[in-house]
Amino acid sequence: MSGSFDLRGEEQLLRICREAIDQCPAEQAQVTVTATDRGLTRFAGSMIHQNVSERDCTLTVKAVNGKRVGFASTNQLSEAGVRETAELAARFAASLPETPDFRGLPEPGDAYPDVATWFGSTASLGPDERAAQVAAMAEAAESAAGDSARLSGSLSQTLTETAIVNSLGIEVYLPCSMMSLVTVCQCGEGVGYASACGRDAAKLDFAAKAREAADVARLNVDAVDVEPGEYDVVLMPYAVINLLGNLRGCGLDALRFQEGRSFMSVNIGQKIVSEKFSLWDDGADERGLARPFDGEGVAKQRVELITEGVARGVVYDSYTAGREGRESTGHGTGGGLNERPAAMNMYLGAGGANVGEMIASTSKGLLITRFNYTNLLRETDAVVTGMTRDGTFLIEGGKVTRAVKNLRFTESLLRAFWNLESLGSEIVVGQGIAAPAAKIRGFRFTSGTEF
Amino acid sequence: MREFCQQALDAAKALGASYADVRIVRRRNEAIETRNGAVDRLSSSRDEGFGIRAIVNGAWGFASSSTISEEEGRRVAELAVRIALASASVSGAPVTLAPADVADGRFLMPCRRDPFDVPLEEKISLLLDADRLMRANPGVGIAEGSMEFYRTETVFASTEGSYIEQEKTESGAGIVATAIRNGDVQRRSFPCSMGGDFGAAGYEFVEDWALTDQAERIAAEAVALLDAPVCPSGAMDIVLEGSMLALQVHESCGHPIELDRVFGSEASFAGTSFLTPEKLGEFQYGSEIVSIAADATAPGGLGSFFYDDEGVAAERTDIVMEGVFRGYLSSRETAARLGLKASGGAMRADGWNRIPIVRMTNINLEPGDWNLEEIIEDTANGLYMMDVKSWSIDDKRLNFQFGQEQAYEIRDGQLGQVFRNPTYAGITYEFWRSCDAIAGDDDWHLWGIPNCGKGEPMQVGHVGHGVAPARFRNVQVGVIK
Repeated sequence: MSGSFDLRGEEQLLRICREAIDQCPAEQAQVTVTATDRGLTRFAGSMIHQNVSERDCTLTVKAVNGKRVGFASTNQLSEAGVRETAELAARFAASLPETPDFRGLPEPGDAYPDVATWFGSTASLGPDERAAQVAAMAEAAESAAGDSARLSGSLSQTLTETAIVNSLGIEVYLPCSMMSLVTVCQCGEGVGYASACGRDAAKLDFAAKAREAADVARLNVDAVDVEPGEYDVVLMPYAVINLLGNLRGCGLDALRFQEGRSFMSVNIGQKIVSEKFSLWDDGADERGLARPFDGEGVAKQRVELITEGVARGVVYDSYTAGREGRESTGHGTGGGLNERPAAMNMYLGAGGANVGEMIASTSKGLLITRFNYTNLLRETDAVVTGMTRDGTFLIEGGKVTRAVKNLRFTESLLRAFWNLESLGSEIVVGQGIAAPAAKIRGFRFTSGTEF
Repeated sequence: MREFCQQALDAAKALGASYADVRIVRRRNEAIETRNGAVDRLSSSRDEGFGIRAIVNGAWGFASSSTISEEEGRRVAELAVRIALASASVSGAPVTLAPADVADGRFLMPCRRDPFDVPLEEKISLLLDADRLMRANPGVGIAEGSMEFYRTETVFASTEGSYIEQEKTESGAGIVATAIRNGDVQRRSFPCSMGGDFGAAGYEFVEDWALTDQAERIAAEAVALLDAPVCPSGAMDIVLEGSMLALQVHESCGHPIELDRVFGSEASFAGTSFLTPEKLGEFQYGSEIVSIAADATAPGGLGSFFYDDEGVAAERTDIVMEGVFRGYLSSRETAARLGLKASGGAMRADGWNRIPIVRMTNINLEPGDWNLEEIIEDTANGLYMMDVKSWSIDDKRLNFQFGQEQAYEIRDGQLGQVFRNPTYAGITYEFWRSCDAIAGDDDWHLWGIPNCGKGEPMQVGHVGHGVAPARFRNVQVGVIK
């Protein structure tokens, strides 16, 4: 069975938005319609154990009366469903106390970047094709690591259409496709990991990712204990992406910045990490999950977050921008007031090294595939804890010598990236963050576990 | 709805399904958030749809849609069957389901005061009153409050003949005071962190917590933490307050007993479990005073229901008895795979568009023989640690580390100095084996956690944890200055 996907289309979704606007008795209104078709195949032991499909369409109305804002949403898009939701949002907006800093909905502004977001190669992947990919990946893993290699993971296809209309003139429509793979290969006691995602499934080599996970699993055997302490670490891109996700969580958005909860709050213009570290957000970069506008229909701007180690800026939506009398950078997530802005297309600039060179330059250290269940301990110096997972190896004398049991790190990310020694030359794209491998000196591990 | 369900099930059977079930779910949600004197969020959502699960050639398929109509029912049934056929092309042993009784009926979970009928002004006023009281303390930089209400109506029907209608109302609320000075951020929450406490109840649940009575206290505590010394490090005796212990139970007991996880279904995402089947009935999980049960029948529990999402009646299952590991959370499929006679009734789905997976119900630590005052008085040196600030655990659920909002020194049986930035860490079974005192019924509370993540696509589960404060000996406290 091949996949078949019928786009609802720009005309239909924009019409629903306009109808809702017309029926919303408020001074201003923003309406968002998001149609979603998702297919996801999960597998364990190289066999499919869960295979699902979802088709949904939601309407969200943001009604504004002066400095009062109310939200309502529904997935029942009948005439009555649209009308009742629009009226409910307006009723909410009429009954609230004022939000002093709210400046109104955004007006039409910059032209949208021209980016490709829809690919037929992704839209056409049905359950049969996903099953065939799982079988091919299982075969690839076995060819790389032997007959005992077994894959677990998920192959996910998400197709969305988004329409946003506001009463001040913003009117946009965007179809997006996304394909993602997460896989763990178990090879006896050894475990390895790989993942990939992108808008164009044709550019993703699933079998290569299965072999990558299998290669790690094949080496990840007879793991020994190592003492917690400070180690030079070579972090594969998956691990770097995880750390950057935590860095984003503790302060790259304007709301935390304005409240003084961000490590950026008192450091703009200051050097906070190594000069080798440059981080930015760019919704127009098609290497990642590009998107021309945000959840308010505002064009996405490239924002320099940290440049050559110096704190440069944070991302804004219309609400946080209004508090400072500036323009939104196009990073609203849900409408501007109830959700904080977020940098959802982050890139850590690549360096000139490769992983082999990073390992060769390490007399004693650890090679880390990825981290598990990381979480913030302290906000303003970005202290994070988490475990290594799915492939942790000892480096001795410039070579990977053996697998080690997993370790818990507890580390300030500012300290870690201050101690950044080198960055890889190739980036890996995750969901919202792209990063290369990195070598960091003196990364702190605080305890170990049994496997 | 009965006719719609029957038509969908008939369609699945006609296309070759050996088993199928359909769930129709209608959910209503209202959320209010306040922040520094303003309503930061006021939203209402309504969501409905249906999902069909089918077994064809021994493999699962699931399809769902938000359009409830006869025509869409047939389309989705056909898609579920076609997806199952695709699964069967790359599947292992055929799916076997443990037997389940056929049920028919309508079940309504009671709530005294319908939260959706409470005037909006009343709910907002409560949060803004608490907000004002917190901000009366000039050291408070951010005052936040939140309330959230859910109503879920579910219809379940299966080709085995079950037809079950259920309705459940859930309510919860919490407040947070945050103090910020010179790059340090400290916060105190009530009644607990992470969005407050939730229960299967009406607005009375929110009223009972009397948020405004505690607003000034937590504001003062948050400000005082800015000047408090950093918590010392070392091996210490610790006493955990209820909401902190609830999360400890959640992470180190609730997740590792999920049988789908044990069988590897979450291997690439949430992880696996150290509680492998050969340990069942043998493994010394905790000390002899530690007994834990999964109880989906607990009144008011966020993890309570009448029937799970594959039509199995709610029940109470022993998980740990006098320290020994005795049971799992299971589904019909995983129970059959382990050789159990029946499912433990733990299959739940996050709405119509998600397939049921094994989830926690109410994972409850049985009350002990002490009370909190006695535990403190009996502790010569240690810490009383409260309210979750951070959490992390490895992918087999062994090595954990939790941070708290604050800790009190215990010296010679008395509470003393307050410390900021406390953390403790350990290995799950070593930690539970070190438990030597658990408070009793008077200190026991069934906490509700409405945001447990698991599965792909991600599903957010509502679960409960009944606990009373307890003491653990010789635990590693503190990791970083």
